[in-house]
Amino acid sequence: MPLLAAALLLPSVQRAPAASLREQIAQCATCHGENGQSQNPDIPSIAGQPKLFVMYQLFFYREGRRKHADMNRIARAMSDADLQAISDHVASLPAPPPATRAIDDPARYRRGAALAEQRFCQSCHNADYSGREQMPRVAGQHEPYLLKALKDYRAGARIGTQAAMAEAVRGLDDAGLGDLAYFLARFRP
Amino acid sequence: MSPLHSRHGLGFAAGLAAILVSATAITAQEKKDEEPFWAKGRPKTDAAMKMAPVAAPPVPTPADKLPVLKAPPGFKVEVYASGILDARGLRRGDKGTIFVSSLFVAGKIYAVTGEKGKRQVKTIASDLMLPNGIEFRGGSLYVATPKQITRYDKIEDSLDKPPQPVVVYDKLPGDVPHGWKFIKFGPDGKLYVPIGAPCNICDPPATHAQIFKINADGSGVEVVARGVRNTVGFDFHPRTGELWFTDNQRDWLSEDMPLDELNRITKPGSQHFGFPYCHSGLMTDPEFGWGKSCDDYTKPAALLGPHAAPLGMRFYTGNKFPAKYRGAIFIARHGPWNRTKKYADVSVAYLDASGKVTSVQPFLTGFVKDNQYLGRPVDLLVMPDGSLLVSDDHNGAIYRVSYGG
Repeated sequence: MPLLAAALLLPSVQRAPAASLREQIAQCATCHGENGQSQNPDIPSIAGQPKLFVMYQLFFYREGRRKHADMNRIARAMSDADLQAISDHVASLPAPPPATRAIDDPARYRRGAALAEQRFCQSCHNADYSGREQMPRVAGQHEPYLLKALKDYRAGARIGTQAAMAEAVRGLDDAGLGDLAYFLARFRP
Repeated sequence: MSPLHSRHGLGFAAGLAAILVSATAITAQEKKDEEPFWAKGRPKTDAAMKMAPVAAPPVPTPADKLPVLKAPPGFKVEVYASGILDARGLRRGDKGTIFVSSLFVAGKIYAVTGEKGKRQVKTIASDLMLPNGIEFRGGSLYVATPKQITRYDKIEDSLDKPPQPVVVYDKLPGDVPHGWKFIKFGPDGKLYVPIGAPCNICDPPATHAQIFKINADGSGVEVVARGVRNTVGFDFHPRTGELWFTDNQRDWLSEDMPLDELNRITKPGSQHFGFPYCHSGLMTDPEFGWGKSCDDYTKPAALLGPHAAPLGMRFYTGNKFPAKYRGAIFIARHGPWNRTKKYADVSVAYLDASGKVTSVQPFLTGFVKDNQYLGRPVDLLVMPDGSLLVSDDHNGAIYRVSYGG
């Protein structure tokens, strides 16, 4: 991944704010895709995510409280003003179009939908799972990424701004988390 | 497909389900028919579907942007310190350092030193897991996470280079939900530690939903109270030594129930405060309360409001506030998330000579405007000069309330 490595080495401190911001945003696209719409199923699409959600994730990466070597390294150079500016930008990108992935296992989709209702997912993430404030859009997100996020919350490897996610996934087995990820990745309003 | 149809028998329902399982489109009606019994009563209106924990940006509010708080006539409210991201628990060291804990956002422990105008905030520990619980005794700062309690010895002599912490107790379950701590030494020299329910509502294992106490070296575990869902604040009556605690009740029952509790332990080790069977001393739980009676559990000493999130509480042991506040309990009501109408304040619970709560009245207000939080009080500290410090995790600030000159 020579491109990625090169992008990560770009110094982002002690530059004119505009250039620094542009460079930092260019770095995002390297992994998260053109306009924040990721083509890599392990990497989330970030376009149009709520500003507060993006700001918090960058903050958690900067503080080392969400672990990902590349993201930790990139975020470490960010000032509070950078967090504001970058999350503003990411939130302003047009959200990805609704999911078109085939629902090739309807029973599984239904199990995921039932679990999402039981666990009050819509109360925070909105009825259409579009997200708001510190809570991300999960509708149409990449399934492997969603599954990893859910497992991280269950394990306490990721916590978030409150205990809500830990409570939401408490007691669910891998199959349950898989059903939830399957459903959300294919969510049809 | 009215809901009545489901009463025609399991055969019909199963047949219907078999037909629907092949369909890819999920209709609202179908979802309604599938609702599990224990999810009955969950919110269905747009207003209720918009409830979520409240988060402020991960940046402390500058001092000149902090809310203007109101206290009764004769009291003065000022900013004691700002720029303390996620400021939660408050404790005072023997040499005057104010230690401040944090929770989800910062994961840090801070030390505030210096006089007004020259006040400094130092970070003395970072990257801790939900380090809400702190306590100070004998020159040492105790820090409790959901997993363990550690001790920083002679901390006030080494704020710039804190010592490696010593593990005091490492047998805590480590849950994220309600795993964060409030800890305090009692008049018996024991350290009091809660273990909250690992859930919103569940029948918890015997290890949870309790308060226990240990010796300062972590030995000698004794259960003090059971049926405690999640206490994030307690204090000992300055005269009787009885432990009083706030307790946060379950979510999702309704806008106005249950009511959060102020509780009083009169028989250490043998009282059950109701969770998960009885809430607020008033109602049995719609799932876990069948066959139970609220009469079998210790009633709250006072009710503190629906989803109020009462956190820190302190008996006023100073002598500067007017007489009616002496021996009364100041209580930080952090304010609800699981309720559409928000409120938050520092309230006062007044006690009569027998220790009964006679009333609970708002004291410090101005935390909510247009149903939005401007600030959220967390912990309280009575200072040697008789003033009261109040932490605010929404803004990352500490206020000082004083009376008279």
